Amino acid sequence: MNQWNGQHRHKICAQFLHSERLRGHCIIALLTLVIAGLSALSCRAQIAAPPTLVIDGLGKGTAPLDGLWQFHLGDDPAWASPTLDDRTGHSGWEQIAADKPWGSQGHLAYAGYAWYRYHLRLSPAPGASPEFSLLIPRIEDVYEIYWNGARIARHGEMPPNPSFPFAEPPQTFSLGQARDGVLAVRVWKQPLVSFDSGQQGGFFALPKVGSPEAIAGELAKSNYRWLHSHQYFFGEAALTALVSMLALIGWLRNRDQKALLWMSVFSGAWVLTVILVDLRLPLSFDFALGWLQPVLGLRDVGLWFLLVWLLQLSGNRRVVRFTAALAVVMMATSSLDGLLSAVNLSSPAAAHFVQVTDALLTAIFTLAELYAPVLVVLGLRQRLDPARWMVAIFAFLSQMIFVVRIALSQGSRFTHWKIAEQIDLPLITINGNPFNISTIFRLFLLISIIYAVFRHTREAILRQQAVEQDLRGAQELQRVLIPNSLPPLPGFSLTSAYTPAQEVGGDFFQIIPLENDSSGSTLVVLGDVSGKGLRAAMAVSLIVGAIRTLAEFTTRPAELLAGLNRRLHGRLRGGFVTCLVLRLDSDGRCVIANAGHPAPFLNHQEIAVPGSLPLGLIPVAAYEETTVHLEAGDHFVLYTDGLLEARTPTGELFGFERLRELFTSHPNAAQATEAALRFGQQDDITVLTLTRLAIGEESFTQLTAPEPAPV
Amino acid sequence: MQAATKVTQRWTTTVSGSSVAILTFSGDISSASKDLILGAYHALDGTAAKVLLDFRGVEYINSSGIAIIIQMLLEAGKSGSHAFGIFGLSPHFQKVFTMVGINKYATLYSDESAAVAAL
Repeated sequence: MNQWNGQHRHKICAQFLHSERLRGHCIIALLTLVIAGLSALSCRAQIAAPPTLVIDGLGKGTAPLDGLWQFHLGDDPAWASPTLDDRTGHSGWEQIAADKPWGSQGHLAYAGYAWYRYHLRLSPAPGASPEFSLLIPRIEDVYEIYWNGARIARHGEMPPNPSFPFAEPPQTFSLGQARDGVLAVRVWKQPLVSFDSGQQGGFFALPKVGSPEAIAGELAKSNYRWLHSHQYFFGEAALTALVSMLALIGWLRNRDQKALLWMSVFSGAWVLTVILVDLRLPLSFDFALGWLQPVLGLRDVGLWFLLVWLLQLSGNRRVVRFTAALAVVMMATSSLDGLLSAVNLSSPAAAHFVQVTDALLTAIFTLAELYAPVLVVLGLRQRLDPARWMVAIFAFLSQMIFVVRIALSQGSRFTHWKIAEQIDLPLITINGNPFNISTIFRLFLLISIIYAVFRHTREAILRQQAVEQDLRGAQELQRVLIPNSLPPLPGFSLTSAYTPAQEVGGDFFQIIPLENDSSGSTLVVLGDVSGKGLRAAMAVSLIVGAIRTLAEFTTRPAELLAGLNRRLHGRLRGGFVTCLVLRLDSDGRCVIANAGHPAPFLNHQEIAVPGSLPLGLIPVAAYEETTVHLEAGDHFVLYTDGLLEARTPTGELFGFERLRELFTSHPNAAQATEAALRFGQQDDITVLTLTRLAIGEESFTQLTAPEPAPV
Repeated sequence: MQAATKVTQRWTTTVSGSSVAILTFSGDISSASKDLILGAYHALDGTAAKVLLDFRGVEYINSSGIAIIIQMLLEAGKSGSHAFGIFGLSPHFQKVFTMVGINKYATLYSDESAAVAAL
């Protein structure tokens, strides 16, 4: 700030009175740098006397401790003494400024102990506080403050067990009623890590003195400036945390959406780095750095899998396997690197081991980070929608700029590359908030995620509408296929109940009064297509059409089943159809043929019909017929396996025994279905009951079927 | 409610000295079990002339599960490579297996020793 040439003494007005409020007090801080008489005489000699900073009449303002401090590398407790001869050139003392680290003032890459000393003469303004305080914006890494040889404060733990915070607000210390003396600062900087530029160590910004109130005000101002310049950044972090959480919830609701999981990991890992590094939490350097490494590794892994899923590379087994293997390498090396931070670096042997291991591990995962561009190149072959590409590209770019910045800072004390610093430079500043290239890429990523979510939601709504349209179509179809009224069946009373497990089921039944030679007889067909939903409904439509056609050519149940089997073979995509066909003659004769369907019950006895394969499995099949005679009062029940295999929540089956008991009471179809529903419906349930009437008894039919659900 | 299907494979030897592969199923068998069951069967890859299906650990088989078992038996029948036996079915599923005609492609046995002795 103000330069001193050793021959002039000058007074400057307090240019540090920033606030309007303070200006009215017309306080003058007299900054005089004096040379003691003797040292003035020796100005021609090589050894120059140390300067004294005179701060006079300081009222409510603060004064920066600028000018040149006496500085010495190494450590000696005697260097705290106010009487020490620390003249420049004497016993290795030199001069250095406190507004930047020693690494950029001729001591590049120095780590270890060093001392700063400054001769101060302080006097408060009349009526002002007699006490003084000191504000230290930042010193790397651990420091102790001495006033006239007595230690008045310590920040962090010195070796042999060093510890210090990773990042924290400026600190203030009381100097008490200090007046004339030597302020000495003992500093220890830990050995350099792989990303250190070497331009580090000691003071990073000028300390200030002032009354306790003025220093407290200065601290508050500094903290406010910090907060103000981080408004956008913290807003972005909060939004990203929200994105991470919502993506996680989205994935938990639909585990197939793996891109959501990896989006959550990718964005969540960045939020964790903000918590560890940028929130100025009281975290130790070892803790923050120890966790930062695996978190950075996790962000890379998150990006890789996000790209794999977004760019639809998940079908490529080799890519997925390689990504998983590289993820393991990345997490192992970055976690090991993190563990290194637990090593005490104060011993040279340990420091050397850590530096070598750190360099090796860092080299491995820095190389692994080159994998993201490989994935993007692989993804170029895919045809993807713009939203996917936007998210993929900005996730890639924002991580790459992050990686490049860290990679280029590795070994920068040897390369002297400044690219990492240039990346951090703000391109624009809005309302005190700097926007560098990383911030801008992350902003675009956030926008692209929001666009992708919007697009996805819109597509989901359109798809949903299409599905609803299909479902409505299927329900229409089913209404045609499941009879909505039953034809009169002379000599019998007939009840039916159909209860699908979903909106559209796979059960079907047909009652076809026969004509011509077989007039007076009726074909009853009941069956079950394996599977549910639209596909089952389509199979049912095929089957019902085939039955209606076949019934024009044969009235024999076995032939009907054989014909149906031929038509279904190869058309059910691995599924099958169980089917029971019976012809009911008006004299009570009933001929039954069965294709893998549960046998009907006569009263409470299961009719012994031979087992046979369901329809559609083999090209040619023959079926046997069984004949029974129904007498007046006989109760005959046909049902689908949804009734037999109703299940309680604990997995207990309804089973044959309960069925037998149920049919003992001759329930109608609705009552039988109700019993199964109470037990626990798993599948479509269809029940048909036929009761042979005595002569003169009036025939009736009763049909229970669901109303099509409003869509 | 549905328990995940598991299939394990082990081997035993009949009195006559021929080896028998036993596929042991557990959990529920449904459409979700298809790849697992057919995969386990294909993994035998003609190494066993005799195969036993052990259903002791199975509580429930729905119609899609039955379709899978039938598909496996029909495949074996086509290639003519395996003799199949089934044991460990609950009385309910013995009845269901008979109903769908599985007993025409694989004999149902009461337990493992009866099955191994008969094969």
